[in-house]
Amino acid sequence: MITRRTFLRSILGAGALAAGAGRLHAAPEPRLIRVGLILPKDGAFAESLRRGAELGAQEAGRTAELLRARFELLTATAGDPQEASREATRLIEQSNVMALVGGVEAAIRAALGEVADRHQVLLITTGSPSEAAEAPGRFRFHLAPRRAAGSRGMEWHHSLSRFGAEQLNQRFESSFGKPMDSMAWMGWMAVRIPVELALRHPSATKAELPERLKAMRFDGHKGARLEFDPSHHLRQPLYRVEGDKAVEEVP
Amino acid sequence: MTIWKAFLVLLLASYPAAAAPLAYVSNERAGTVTVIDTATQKGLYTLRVGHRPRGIQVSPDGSRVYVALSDTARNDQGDGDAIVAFDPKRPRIVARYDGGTDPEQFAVSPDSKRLYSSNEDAGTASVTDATTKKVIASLIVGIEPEGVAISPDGRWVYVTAETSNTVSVIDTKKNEVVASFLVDPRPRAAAFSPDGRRAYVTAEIGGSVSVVDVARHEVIKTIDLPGARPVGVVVSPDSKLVYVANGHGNSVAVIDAAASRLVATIPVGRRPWGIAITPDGRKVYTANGVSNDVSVIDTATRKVVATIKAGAGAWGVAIGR
Repeated sequence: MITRRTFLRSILGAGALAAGAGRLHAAPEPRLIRVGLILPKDGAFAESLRRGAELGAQEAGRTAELLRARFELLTATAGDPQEASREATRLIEQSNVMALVGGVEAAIRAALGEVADRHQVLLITTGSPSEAAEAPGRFRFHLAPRRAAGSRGMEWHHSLSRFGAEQLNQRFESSFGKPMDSMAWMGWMAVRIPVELALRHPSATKAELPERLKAMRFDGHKGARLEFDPSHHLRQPLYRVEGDKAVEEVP
Repeated sequence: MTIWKAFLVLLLASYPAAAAPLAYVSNERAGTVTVIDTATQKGLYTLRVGHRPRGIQVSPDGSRVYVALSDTARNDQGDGDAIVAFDPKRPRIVARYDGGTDPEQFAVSPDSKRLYSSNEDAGTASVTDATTKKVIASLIVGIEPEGVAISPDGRWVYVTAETSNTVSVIDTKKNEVVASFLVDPRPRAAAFSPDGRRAYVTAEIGGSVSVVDVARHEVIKTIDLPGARPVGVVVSPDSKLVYVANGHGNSVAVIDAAASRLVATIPVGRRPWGIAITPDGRKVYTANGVSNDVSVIDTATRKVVATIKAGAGAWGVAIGR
């Protein structure tokens, strides 16, 4: 007679043999988390975004490793909306990225947003400052906040020192020999956010991720608790810069 | 009566430090430690210890006070980076331990044979042999490690890391990181309950405290503390209450451990960072880094009963036996 327990054991045993595991107690393959970065072809924004994303990827990779997962950042470049759309689709379909990051220009952000919505894959934009809200989309999230009319506040400055900003500025500068600017900070955040989301919610489905992301709180080394507002723009302190120094927080 | 008095005088004369526990406050900018008598709430003396004292701990027998020092050079280990120990009875530095680069917080093993310290810029935790005073293991933990706590049985050391939002678990038998888990954003400190069943991890940006089941090294609950910027944390001797220094929230949160619920918020000095409790559980002390003083809370009335001047940049506080 085959009891339920021995039956289960025989299935499990067969499974292990079929998989060629050999060792019954072999550690499971670490989960692979992939994020796709879409960069402009050239320019200062592209360089800053690339560096920030690279630092974010290093840190996200170390965090993933601590939690027995693996992380890969895949990079593509796009010069126009059609190319951005094509590259983003390729990253999703061929490399199974769980999120897209990038979109410096409005037209490219819009093209990436359509791809994100169609494939139900998160998009974290690193758009340039704007007073206008981005086109809404369930899977689209924006690191540039909605600004008050006329506000010229910056997301980041290399002179910031409190709340761990000094350490972040120092890590960036020692990696790239350049000061961290706002676009670099957005690149750093944009990579870390989806990876942290994936690590915190390993069993969430693609469709569940936007709600989970909206419930999350982030440390951007600005001393405030950062979160996405109802229009999916990141709420955060901005800084007024005088000369070469951030002098105060502005609305 | 006379005999009793004579006995008391003799007792006090022979054991000056045994009358009441002493509280030790590290002053980051002043480079000193302020020593307070917890019976009278008066400062007894101030000892110059070196540059940038932050983490402070008392040996389990009360005979040594350890203070972490950092020099001005970040990233590389200079002469100023060390954990020093002083004898509170004859206040002078009696030992100097290697704690890796810029040791910030640390824990002392129950047998006083090991020190475990966090090295923020190096992203490591250092294990120091107290006999040879040398680092015997340097373990990779999360990014920007900060808080360090050891379980009452000495088996587990938790190291929090403020950029990866992780806690790394060191098995002290193997001197290896055996597990890591996520907590809320910007974890700053951890404390084990004296019964060893729970650990509490504060998150400054998360505004919360994570409750950890020590048997499984897993977060079982997260308690939100509205308006708080939780940093230092300490658990009452009976493991029933958790006291959290709220940093820029300028208060101390009291959590009922069984109910995992916030039960009181006590206003204290400005930016309390370090927090400690007397062995009888009756008084809680906070080191207030902006007002440069120490608040003393009566745990029965949950009110501040004394404010004691400390040095510039009061940072950590530890209480002896």
